Amino acid sequence: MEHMINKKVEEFQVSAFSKGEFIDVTQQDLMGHWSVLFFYPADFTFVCPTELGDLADHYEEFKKEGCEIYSVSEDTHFVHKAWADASETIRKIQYVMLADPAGELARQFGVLVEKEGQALRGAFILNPEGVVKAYEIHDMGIGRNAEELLRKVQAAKFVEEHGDQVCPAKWQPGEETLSPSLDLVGML
Amino acid sequence: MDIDKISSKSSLMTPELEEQIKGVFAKLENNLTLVCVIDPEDSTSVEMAELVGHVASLSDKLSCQLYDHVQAQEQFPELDTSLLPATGLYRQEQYTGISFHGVTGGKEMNSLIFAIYNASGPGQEMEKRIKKKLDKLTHKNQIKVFVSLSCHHCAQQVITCQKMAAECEAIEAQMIDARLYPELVEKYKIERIPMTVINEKETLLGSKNMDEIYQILRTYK
Repeated sequence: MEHMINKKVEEFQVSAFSKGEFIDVTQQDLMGHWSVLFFYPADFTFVCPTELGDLADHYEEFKKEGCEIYSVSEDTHFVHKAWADASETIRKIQYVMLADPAGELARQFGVLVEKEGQALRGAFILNPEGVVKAYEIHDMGIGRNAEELLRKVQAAKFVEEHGDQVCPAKWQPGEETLSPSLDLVGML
Repeated sequence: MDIDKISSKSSLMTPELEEQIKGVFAKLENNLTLVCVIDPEDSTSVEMAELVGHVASLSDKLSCQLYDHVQAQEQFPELDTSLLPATGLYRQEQYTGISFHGVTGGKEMNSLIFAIYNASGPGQEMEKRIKKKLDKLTHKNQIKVFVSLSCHHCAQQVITCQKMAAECEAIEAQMIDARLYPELVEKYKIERIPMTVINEKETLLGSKNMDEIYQILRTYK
């Protein structure tokens, strides 16, 4: 199976539910800012509102990083609205909820379980050019963590801004001095 | 520990490494003194003193002088002896602006060997246009490069900054092993390395080239 890293989002057009309204979203809307595409199996399920609520609670932090969130399920935008009407957790969501009943997006990102017509729990981080820089895919029953996802967005942004010329600074108290090594002598 | 009893044989040195270093040191042109200021009661200080002594013994162009930090503060005011162990490179008794704070183990052995090569001569080649720019600097610039001994990019950044110091009297460049100074990690909020602090004001992350560093230095008049 081919991986998704550095793949650019292909053309798509889907309906969506956003702050009480129905809108259309295309791949162009994902350009110019960081994006998270957050797939989940279906509306009106138990694990999903927990995850989506967790994401809603951290939405402002994602916005501060210049990152937009798009949740995606294989439901229609009408079902998203009905779910928001019925659930307080879903009602507080400020990010855009994409409707993908034809499986166009889920198929593009390799998370569609065709037999069930549902998406696996996949979260994809796209850079402002619409290119996938990180992702995670969980089986249906395994929830994700918004804080963890935020850290990944921050890390992806950091690497994009600073290249790979830095190392994380992790020191353990009492570490021994590393044995010296000369590997730059060729630069002389 | 009695400072006079510190060995000039380091357990960090291997015969293979000695041979590699001797190959570089065969090219050295001018005498250089490695002044190593230590706390004789501190094992990290002793480790660096032994390593510097061992490195110096590999060339007749080099000498090593060990000092207890209590006496050294007045004798070497230009060397930051608050960060021990502190090792400064001196050419004809003049401070080159190059110092190391910590033990130059791991990848930082590259930094030490390059600093010696650059300060003693012939040194790495520097583009004439960069040298011309550096010659115009008048403000005394202080560059701190925070490193981890396992970080390849850190050694590159230290070598670049210390090469600039070797070529320009208006620049001082310190290598600082951040692991040994948690108060500085806290002060400068160091989460990634190499992190370079210029004149206590500007911060650079990652390995930068001389042009990029110069663009910051030139803003200080």
